[in-house]
Amino acid sequence: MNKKAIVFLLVFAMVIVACGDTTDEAAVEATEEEHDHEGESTLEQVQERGFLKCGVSTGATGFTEVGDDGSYSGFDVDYCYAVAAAIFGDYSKVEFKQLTAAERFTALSAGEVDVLIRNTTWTQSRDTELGNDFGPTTYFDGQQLMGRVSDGLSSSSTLADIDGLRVCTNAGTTTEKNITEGAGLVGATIELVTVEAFSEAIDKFIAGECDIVTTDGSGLVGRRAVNDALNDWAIFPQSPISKEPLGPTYRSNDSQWADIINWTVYATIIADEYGVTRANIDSFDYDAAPEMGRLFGKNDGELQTKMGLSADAYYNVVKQIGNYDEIFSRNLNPLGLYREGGANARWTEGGLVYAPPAR
Amino acid sequence: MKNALKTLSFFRNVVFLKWASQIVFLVGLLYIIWSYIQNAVINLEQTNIAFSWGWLGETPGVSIAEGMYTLPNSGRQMIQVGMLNMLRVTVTGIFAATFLGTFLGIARLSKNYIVEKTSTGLLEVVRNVPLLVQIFFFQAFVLTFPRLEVFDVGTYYLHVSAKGIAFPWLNRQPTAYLFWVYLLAIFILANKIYKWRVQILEREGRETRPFLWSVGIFFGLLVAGWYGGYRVMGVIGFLAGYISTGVDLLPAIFYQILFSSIAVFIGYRSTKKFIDSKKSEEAQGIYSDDDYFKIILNVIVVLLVVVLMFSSVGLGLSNFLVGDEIVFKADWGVPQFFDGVNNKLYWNPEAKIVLDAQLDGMKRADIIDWIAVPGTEVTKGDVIARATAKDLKGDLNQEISIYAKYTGVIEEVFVSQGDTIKINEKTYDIRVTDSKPLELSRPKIEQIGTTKFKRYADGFGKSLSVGYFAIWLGVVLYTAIFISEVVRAGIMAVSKGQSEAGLSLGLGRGALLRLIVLPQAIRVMLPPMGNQYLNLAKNTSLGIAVAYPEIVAVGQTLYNQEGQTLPVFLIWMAFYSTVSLTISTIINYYNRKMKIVER
Repeated sequence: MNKKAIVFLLVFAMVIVACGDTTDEAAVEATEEEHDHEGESTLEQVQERGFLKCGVSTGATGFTEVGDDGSYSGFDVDYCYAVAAAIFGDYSKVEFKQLTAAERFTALSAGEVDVLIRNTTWTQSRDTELGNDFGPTTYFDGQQLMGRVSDGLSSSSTLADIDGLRVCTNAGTTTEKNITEGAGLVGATIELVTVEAFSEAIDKFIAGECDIVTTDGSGLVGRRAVNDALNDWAIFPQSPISKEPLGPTYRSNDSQWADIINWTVYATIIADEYGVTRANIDSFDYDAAPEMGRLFGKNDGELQTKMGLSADAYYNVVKQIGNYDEIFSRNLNPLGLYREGGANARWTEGGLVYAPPAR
Repeated sequence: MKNALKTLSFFRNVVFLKWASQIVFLVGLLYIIWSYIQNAVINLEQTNIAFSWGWLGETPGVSIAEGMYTLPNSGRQMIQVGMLNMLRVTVTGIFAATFLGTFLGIARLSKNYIVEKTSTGLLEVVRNVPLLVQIFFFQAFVLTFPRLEVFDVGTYYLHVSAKGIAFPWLNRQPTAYLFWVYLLAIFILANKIYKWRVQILEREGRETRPFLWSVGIFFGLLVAGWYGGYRVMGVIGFLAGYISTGVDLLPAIFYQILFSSIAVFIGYRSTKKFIDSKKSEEAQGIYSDDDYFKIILNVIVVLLVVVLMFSSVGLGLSNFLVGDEIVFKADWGVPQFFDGVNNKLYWNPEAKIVLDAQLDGMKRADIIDWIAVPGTEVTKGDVIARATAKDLKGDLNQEISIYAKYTGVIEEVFVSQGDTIKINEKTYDIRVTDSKPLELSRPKIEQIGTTKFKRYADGFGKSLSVGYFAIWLGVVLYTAIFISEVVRAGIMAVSKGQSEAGLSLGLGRGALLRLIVLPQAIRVMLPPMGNQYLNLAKNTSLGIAVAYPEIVAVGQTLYNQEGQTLPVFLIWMAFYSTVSLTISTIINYYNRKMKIVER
């Protein structure tokens, strides 16, 4: 009996050890398979799947909005559509995934989304530590604060005026760090309450739990427009406390995929520079503008096929979505955000929106 | 038998096979775990996120709404704040849920129709609604109250607004720690006196009134303590000061040698005990191969500990105990511990101040000159004392001035850890107290600086933030409902015959409950009660939903800033396991204590 038990134990132990080996081998195989899968480029994966998985915000007025019928619209959403139009020639082949600020990078690195176009700020630490790469900035934003005019705040208030106040913002964003650092620099102590989604911060601000809220200026303007409080809520300080360049984000070391995203954005900007819009795209004289012709695959020398796309990929983008100016005006002008005079104006007009030449 | 064994080759030896198979099994298991960890690390590297603990030492640069430090200087400190915030809800919640649950459980057994139906109704509502929904409800409930306005400024008994809930509270004064230690000491003393009187009663058979004695002495000492008697406990702080200075001189190698010696000593003693037991008449000094293995294993474990102590792991641990702030800016070493005890329980509070951690390396200051003495009047901002701030490790001295924080007549001077210490301005708080350890005060609403905003003033009454209130009430009510069922079941599990037997012996209702029913009911109640406490501890993680900065919320903020998801998950798991195991250990201890004593 005893011997039997020992034999059993021994066999069991051997099986376990063997299993250990096999699981390990299996794991190695699995990683190898993943390697194979990773060897298959992001573009191939997306094309095979038949649609693009695009990470967007859970709700940012003007950037990501979900209609009553479940349809998506907004500045960031339009760029998701633009990428889909470039890859498939059909902008509607997008599956949106709403991500909170806190979960977005994990979702991206885990492969839950192919690209993150979710008002995400480009920072050094995110670029290096989080395993991301950033595409061209689509919207130059800056963090500001918002408080009530009835509480004595105005658009000329400064960070020094918030000493001792309770400030609300959403977790997992650069805003937490900016406000802590900014307040520390002027010697103000604040009580920082962080919530999961910015809409909760606005709820707390309206109820009075928080004295002021802070996030990117565009978000504040949007919320103020939605809550119809243009004269009641003041946004300050006048020059934002931080630089918030927002743009698409993708996994690092994926240069083909990066090129596709980057040039989708650049194509909308170049189209804007030449004045090519959805309306005049077919009547435009491409012979007079060879760069435009190359970009849209209208004449020789196009580079899109070398990127793995069809020659008319960017033609489809502008045809279906529009150029940068159209995307901007369509989504952000209704909120009171305009390009003129700001960082988002054309570079020829004193702004920062600039694209490298297509040749 | 023995000879027969000796002739066998080792691979047919049963004892060898038995041990070898176990060791192989263990090694195999460790190998599997190791390969999974390796796999995870490799996968992380492929996503360009290298696994690292370095962020624990880096400044996160993010403020936290409430807690011990609202502006943590390292990831480790931030984690610490989250842990303490979680424990704050858990510990107070367990006590509150037990009281409320016991009350509701007894109410459910009440013969009063209204009482019984009300508690049953509450039970059904709370039990059948998800906890998260309840927590959201409590938050929304508080947020429906108006904001704090100009006309709200003043003092209240109870005040609810969108900024939270405030009520009167016994706020601790600088001497509160001394008083608490004193309270613990006289409680133990009263307990000893009770046992001593019971002993006399049992020995001599005369009425010794043990309860009256212990309670009388307890309250007598309590009154004496409240009016200053607690200061005798200052001797602990006095001794701790010397110990702190002493252990500060010890090098890291001391702890390495100490732990190695302890391991060797324990190994030696257990081996010797084992050998001695073999010398008994029964064993006749015969050793089986099994016994040899046990001795060899003993030696191997001791050697392993010694090797570990002198490896980098042991060195790190020793450096940590010495209090070198190289490991993640940690300042938890042995000297710091005794220094902290010394500061909290100082025998003469007039002579010493603690500096905020913001003063790099500076740990304490000795007053060299008192400018204000008891009896004089000071206004806010007056200099009351001069002191030298000392570096704990070296001789770096720096002269500082201490300013009054409040306006008033100084009755007695206490200096304590300040609320707003800033190194550049060299302002330190001095508290003018009436030397009571705890002070009852009512909540006060004040204006924030020169702004139009209002808040609940610090140190007046107690104000709970919306998040804290929602998560606390949520977990307490939810757990209390389940505890009430446990209590009801426990009481009903005691058979009716027990009560009837007690009554027939002539016991009163109180004595019947205390001596017959409750001891048996508690035996039934304890294990499920422990489960409820574990649930409460784990449910506090829902605080993230209402912006309460407990360990999960804080950890999530951290990994978003630093990108280190896996280490944060490991910390969460380790922390929750530690808390859960601690709770179940305590419950098991009481369970053993309450067990029927078998003879």
